[in-house]
Amino acid sequence: MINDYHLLTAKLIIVYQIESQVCLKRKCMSRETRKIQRVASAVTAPIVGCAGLYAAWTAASWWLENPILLPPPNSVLTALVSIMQDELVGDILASLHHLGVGMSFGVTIGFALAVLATQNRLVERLVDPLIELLRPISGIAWIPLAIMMFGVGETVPIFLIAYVSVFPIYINTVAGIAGVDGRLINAAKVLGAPPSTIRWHVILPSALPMILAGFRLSLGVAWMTLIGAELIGGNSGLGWRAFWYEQFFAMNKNLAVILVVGVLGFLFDGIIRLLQARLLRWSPAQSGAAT
Amino acid sequence: MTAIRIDRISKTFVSSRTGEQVVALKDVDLEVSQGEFVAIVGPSGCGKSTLLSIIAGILEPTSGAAYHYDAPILGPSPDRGVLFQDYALFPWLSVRQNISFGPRARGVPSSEWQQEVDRLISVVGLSGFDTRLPHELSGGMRQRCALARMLANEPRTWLMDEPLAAVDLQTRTLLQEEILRIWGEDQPPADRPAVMFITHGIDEAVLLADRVIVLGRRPGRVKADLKIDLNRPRFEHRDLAAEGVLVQQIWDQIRDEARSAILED
Ligand SMILES: Nc1ncnc2c1ncn2[C@@H]1O[C@H](COP(=O)(O)OP(=O)(O)OP(=O)(O)O)[C@@H](O)[C@H]1O
Ligand SMILES: [Mg+2]
Repeated sequence: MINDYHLLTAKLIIVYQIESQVCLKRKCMSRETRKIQRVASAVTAPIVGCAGLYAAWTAASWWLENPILLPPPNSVLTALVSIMQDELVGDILASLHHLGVGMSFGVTIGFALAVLATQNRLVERLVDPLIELLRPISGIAWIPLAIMMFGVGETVPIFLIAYVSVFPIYINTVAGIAGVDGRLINAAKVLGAPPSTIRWHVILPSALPMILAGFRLSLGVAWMTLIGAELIGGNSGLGWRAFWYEQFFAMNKNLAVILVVGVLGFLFDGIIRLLQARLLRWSPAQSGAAT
Repeated sequence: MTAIRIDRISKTFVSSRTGEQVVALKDVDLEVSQGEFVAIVGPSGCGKSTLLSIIAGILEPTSGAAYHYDAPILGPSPDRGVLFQDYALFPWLSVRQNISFGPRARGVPSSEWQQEVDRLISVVGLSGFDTRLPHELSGGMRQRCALARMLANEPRTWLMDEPLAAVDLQTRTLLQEEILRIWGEDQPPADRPAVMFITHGIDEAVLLADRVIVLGRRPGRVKADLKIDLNRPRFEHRDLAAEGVLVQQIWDQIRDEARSAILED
């Protein structure tokens, strides 16, 4: 029974191996054997983990014998292949659009507020309590209000993404700027650096590790919120699509969408981690966390 | 010509936590001439770094005033180069970028500093390391990088806060010789910078300086001001006996205070 899904898993495994070899080449220039071992375990461990999940899932769906309650993984993967060829690409693009626009707003606002708050006491006293007050409120809580204000459509997820991504970037940027080593600022001053140079060439790079970590957190929480927002208040995107399949009791397709959500989230995080590793090579703390 | 003049400077710190007052400096008067190498010694906590920071322009005195070539010191200036004890290199910049930070920050066109920066890199023995990041350097290399960074601005005055405290003995000896050479030991005073060199090592002070100023503690004030009339270049005619006598003289001045400093802290 060689079907699409077997083909896909085979492809995935090949891609995975190629990637891990690239990894091997890059990492094993020195102290090779130990690194090969480490990389080998880094490659096999996730495979074992996934295989375990696969087995447990298959067993559970056999035991339940109800493909609507819990479709077996095989059928989910088959569904994945079929919806990938069908409508899912459009949904992925819609979700990326919501994420991109929402985060552009949210991150810009959060970053700008943080910069202003660290430069001006009055702004800090104004903004800080507001942020602390709103921060514990889940983005999901605003969905009803957002639907009332904007109507069901793409504005709701965009608004919510923007909302939730403000906080991590704000908090981390404030902490990053506050934590800049005063000795470096003094060093720049005695070297004749004007305030603008100090801002862009001392404070910004010093705070960059924290800022990027904040961006990563923003992206994570934005992605989590996106699905809920689309599911309830949107008319396109992955969350909306998952809900749509559920209404037809196509739970294998519903789970396939969720799988895609997970994989995309993982990929985004990977991209940010690469970015961190690239930009923060100077930081001894970072070089270890690069991979 | 007077390079640095300190006019009855006092500095009191108020702890923001306890409100307790610490008199770091009390009525300090001091003059450093152009081309003169002055070493400052004194027990821990007597206000050496405070004094240096005031001259650097990164700390304001509570009272009194400081002058650099007769101009009141109101803030930092690239004319007064500072070598910080903990290097304070920019960790995200390469050796070369660190060294050229001053000229670049001041907007000097790169054609005017490229060659000088190259020269400094080799003067401090960092050729071949210019693309390294600070965390990839040894302590001595970092210190030499910081020295070159200060020199790239061609300051008229060098302010150095325990620059060699964190390097090993051999490196220290080599750097001492380097510093004297770059300073221009064999030059007439008018052609070389004034140096204010803080150190914990009395022997180092005697070895390098034209004058050793001893600061006392609680409150910090000038306790002694000794001329060191040893021949220059110092490393060519080392007179260990004469150095030893001078070291002993200075040590006698601060022994009691140093002891009480240890007991208090
Ligand atoms: N920012 C500050 N706030 C409060 N007290 C301070 C501050 N900076 C220095 N002091 C106090 O002022 C005194 C002099 O400090 P300073 O750093 O100038 O001493 P120092 O002679 O350089 O000591 P060391 O040899 O240990 O470096 C000390 O008692 C110190 O506790
Ligand atoms: Mg000090």
